[in-house]
Amino acid sequence: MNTFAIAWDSIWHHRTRSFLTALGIIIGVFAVVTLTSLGGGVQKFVNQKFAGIGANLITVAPALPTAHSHSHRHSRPVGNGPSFQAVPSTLTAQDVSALNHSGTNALRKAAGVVTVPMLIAKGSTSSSAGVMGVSYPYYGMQRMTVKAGSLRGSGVVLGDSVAHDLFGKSPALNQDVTIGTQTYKVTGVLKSLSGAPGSDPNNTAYLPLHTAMTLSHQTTVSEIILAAASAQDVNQAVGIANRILAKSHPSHNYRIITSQEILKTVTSTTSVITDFLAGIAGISLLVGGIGIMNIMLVTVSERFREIGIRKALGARDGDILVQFLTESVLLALIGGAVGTVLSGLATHIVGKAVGIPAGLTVSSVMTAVLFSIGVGAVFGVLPALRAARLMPAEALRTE
Amino acid sequence: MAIERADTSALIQVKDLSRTYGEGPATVHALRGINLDIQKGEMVALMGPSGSGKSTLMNVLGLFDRATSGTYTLGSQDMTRLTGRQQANLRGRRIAFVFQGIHLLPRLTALANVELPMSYARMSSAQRKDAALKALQLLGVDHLKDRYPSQMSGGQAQRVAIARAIAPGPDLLLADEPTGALDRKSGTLVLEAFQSLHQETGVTIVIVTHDPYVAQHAERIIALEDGHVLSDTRVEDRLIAHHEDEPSKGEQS
Repeated sequence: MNTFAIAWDSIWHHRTRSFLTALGIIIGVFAVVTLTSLGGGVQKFVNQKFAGIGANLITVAPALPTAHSHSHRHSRPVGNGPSFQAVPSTLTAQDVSALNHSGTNALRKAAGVVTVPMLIAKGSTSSSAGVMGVSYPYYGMQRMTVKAGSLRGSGVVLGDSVAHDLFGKSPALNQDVTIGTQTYKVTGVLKSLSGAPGSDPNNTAYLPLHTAMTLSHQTTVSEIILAAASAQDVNQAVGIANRILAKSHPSHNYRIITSQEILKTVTSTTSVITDFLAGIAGISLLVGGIGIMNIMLVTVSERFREIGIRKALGARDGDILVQFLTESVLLALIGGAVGTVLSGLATHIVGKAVGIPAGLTVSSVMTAVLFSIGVGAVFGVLPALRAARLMPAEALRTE
Repeated sequence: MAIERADTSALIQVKDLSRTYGEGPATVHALRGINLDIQKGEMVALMGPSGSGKSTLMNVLGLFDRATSGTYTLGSQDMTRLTGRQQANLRGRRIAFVFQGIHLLPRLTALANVELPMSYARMSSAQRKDAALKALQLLGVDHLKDRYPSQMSGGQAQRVAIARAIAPGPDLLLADEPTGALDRKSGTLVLEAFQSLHQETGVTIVIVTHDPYVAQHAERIIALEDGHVLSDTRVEDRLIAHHEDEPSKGEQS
């Protein structure tokens, strides 16, 4: 009669009770594994998106105001320009041009981007779309292509959903739209694009950079996007960009963000959220463990007589300890297995519904199994020790 | 089955054994200086009313409990100095037990029950099975080997329990009110099983009982009262030959 068989026999004999006890672990493991799997799915999704577009892209943005420059500004307020803008830009169209003509292979193109704080409308129909000014290479960097018209025109290029919002099914090309106070012709309509994390390119209208800067009275660009020849050339391209910008920006009042860094930020954010949620879910595992301890204590007191008989027949304290520990670990392991299977189903269904590549990973299953064993062992020790330390005479006295 | 030893030295030597529970004014003196020798191969009844200390003495002899003072030697080994693990190793193997009530494990077959002490002794499964079947045969219950305790009568179950006790070949068999839960007829059968076991194997048997009828089946009766040995007598007229005789009704309590 081996220990495992004894443990299984006892669990099976009290099936209802065992199931209810295991339910605590099932829920705990289900919650932890599902959350970590979905979190992993979100990260995989983000990684895929980043690998799809822009692994070779570099963003040049104005430097964030430091504490020093902040107080400096307050002590000597400047009369002209938006002095209360959160991040005053220092990047100019000349910078874009200089970067665009680096003459190197690593740094292939540069595109200026400016945000226009105005609404786009057709007659009285307005849209929620954002308006941006971009220089021509921007479209190529974002892999945008037209389904009607051209990207080289002097008018506005509409994202797919903007065109749909303003014109419905009728063709938008060569129609007039107003942005702010000015009227522009639609010279291009983009094909629908799956969105990069952040903004929705389909719900954006694009003006040529200089037109946009004139319209919104801006002398600087919001940011400059650089395209390195490939993802491997990003570091070299950053070096070249720094050398070029150093001439016009000796105080280095800009910062360079690579998509690797953005990815890192997004990844660490999602993993912090995932860990946090998994931690909360872990509390239910703790509660499940306490359930196991509780029912094992009941089991031990129900089986005083059996323990006494076994001890009288030569069972050592260790034999009894192992017997009850096996039972609690087996109980937790069953709960863990069921929880993992349910979590696999749930993750698959949710992943499908939301559209992220979520699924059980080897590591999440391993974690669940180890967690279950751990919970069973930790919460089984106290009842098992109580059983093992029972004096045989005392144990036999209970009828 | 028992180890044959042709010496006359006592198997059990108990000297000035005391056991107290509690402290101060609440102290209970369960045993107050017991002295006795039990020879190898003897069949002894330990008698006394409840509270006489017979159960405490059995617990000490069975290594279930430790004496407060005095010595207890089994063979040549001082039992009062054993560790818990050493005690566990002797229990079930050198010292075996038959209890009042049916102490078979309900979810094991007769055979598995009999094998249990030997599996705790880490014997191989072939050896275990062999010894278990022999013991069941000796008690005449080998046909029950695949039955569960719930499928046996009380007398049958108690004989399986005796088989379980003697299967590992112990030096000492301790029986605590072994017929306490049985009717007179099955009780008699169980007592006869003890007697024939004793004759065939020569194992030393100590039966704890409050019942004079049970005690009559032993060769020697040690009576305890209030933690002392009251009397120690040999039984001359043993009832062993009277298989078919029902004991006369007036004789018993």
